[in-house]
Amino acid sequence: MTQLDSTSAALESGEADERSAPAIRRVVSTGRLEYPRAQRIAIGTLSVLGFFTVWWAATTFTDVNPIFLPELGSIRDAVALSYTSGELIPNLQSSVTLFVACMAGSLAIAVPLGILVGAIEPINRTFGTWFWTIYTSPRIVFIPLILIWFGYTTTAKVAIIVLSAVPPATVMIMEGVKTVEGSMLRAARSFGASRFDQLRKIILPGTLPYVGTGIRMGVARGLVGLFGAELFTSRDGLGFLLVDAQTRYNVPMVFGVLTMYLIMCMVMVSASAAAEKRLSRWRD
Amino acid sequence: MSADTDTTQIRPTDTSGRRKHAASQSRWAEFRRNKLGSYAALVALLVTWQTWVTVGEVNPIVMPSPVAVAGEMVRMYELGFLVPAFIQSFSAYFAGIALAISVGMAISIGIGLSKLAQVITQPYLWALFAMPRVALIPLLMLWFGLNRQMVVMTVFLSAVVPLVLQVIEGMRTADGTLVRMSQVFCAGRIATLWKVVLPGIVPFVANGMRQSLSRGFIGLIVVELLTGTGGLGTEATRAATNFNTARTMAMIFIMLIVAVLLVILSKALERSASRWRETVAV
Repeated sequence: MTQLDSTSAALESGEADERSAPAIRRVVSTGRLEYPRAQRIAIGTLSVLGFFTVWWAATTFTDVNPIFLPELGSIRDAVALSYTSGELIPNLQSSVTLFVACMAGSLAIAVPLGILVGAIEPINRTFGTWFWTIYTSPRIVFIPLILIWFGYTTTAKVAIIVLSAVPPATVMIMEGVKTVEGSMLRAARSFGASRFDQLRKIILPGTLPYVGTGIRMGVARGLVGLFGAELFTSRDGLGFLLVDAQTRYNVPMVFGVLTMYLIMCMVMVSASAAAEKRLSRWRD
Repeated sequence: MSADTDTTQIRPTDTSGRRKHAASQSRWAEFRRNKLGSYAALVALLVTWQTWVTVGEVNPIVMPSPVAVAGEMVRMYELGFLVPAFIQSFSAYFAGIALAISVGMAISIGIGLSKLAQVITQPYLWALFAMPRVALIPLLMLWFGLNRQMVVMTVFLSAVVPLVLQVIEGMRTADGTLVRMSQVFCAGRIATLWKVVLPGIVPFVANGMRQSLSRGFIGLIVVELLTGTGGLGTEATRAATNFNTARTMAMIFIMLIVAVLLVILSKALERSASRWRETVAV
């Protein structure tokens, strides 16, 4: 029962942040209607352009400390310099490759694990709570221990990312398996479906939307792990560029790397949200 | 999907009623059914770990035994740096959280009041949401230097984003019928805000604060681990660089326990804040 409570609490809100998104459209807040999509995009674009204009004006016409707000041109120059010196591309590649590979690995662990724990009642009763506990705890605290075990290596980074990404994905899938309707399973059984048939034809399709949610949350937490790992080990990747720029007081480059991080995050987060939508499409 | 969320909203009150009934039957039977396995698994893990380390004579730098880790906790307390580290961590933590709640509430109610402001701020909020705030630590180090102020700012930044997002969400989903009804009864904007919208966002605020507490703690830990600015995280890194694995693990467990306690606390807070809403919903 406590399990159910915590599930619904997490699903309803919190960790499953945008789950409630469809609810927005059907309500009117302070009496005024929502802006149509085209207008929203137009205003958003204008807002971003305005933001950069203010930034540009602030750095050009006032002598604001360049450590707080470097000129936009100097950020571009810093990024261009690291591109021409051949530092940028290999490090960017290393971050992206590492992350995508780790996410693939994390899913390869989380999907079977989630289904196993969710579908088999004794396992669920014994380990379900612990998966929830691991999921709610900040796994980032394990970084010092991982560094002792693996040193400042790529293995350590992989361990940190996988440790960040696997628990949320596993928990989502595990709870998804539980939402599969018992009546369907009973129906399948009465038509003589084997355990494997039940898994393949009922549990897997029923869990698919939750796998989508698991992917999205795994990616979100995996990014935290990636950044943590790269900041700590800072051997290569964008994290290396970031720490390197920071120790040299190269503020424009810090902004440049953060921008690249931001773009990377947006791409990954939108990709995972698209994956989630796609996997839950058959249900609607 | 919407049918899903509806059932999840009803479920808590539903089960608590049933649970109360079951509790009167037999508390032990329920414990055995729901919890015994979990605790048994934990004990089994600890016993296996202890046996593996003692029998296999594992190098304590690689893997200290649970007994050694527990002993290290006591020793740290006796050496007298555990409590100051605690105080240091938590003064920064609560300062950051307090800042996040006050600033976050002001910003988000302001944004939530106007549809135009929501549309204007959306790209930034989305960017802040997509990017883990951990990545901003190097920039904060440049801006504030290596001091507790920087730690407070990290906690603040980590904690404020989920709160703002949740509160804006709450303002957007304010019950349209109630808002229209209050307008029919000639309530002014302020009265509508005070009597309809703000009570309506309480569960969202509670949920946002729950996320803030846990994200803020992550921010605190990362910044303390990464920079030697004192506190629990710094002690863990210090122990790790000395290859004192037992102490590292002890620090990790302490931080985990604190994190779990924070989660329990914030969930209780959230539950008590959303209670009135559930009864209305059912």
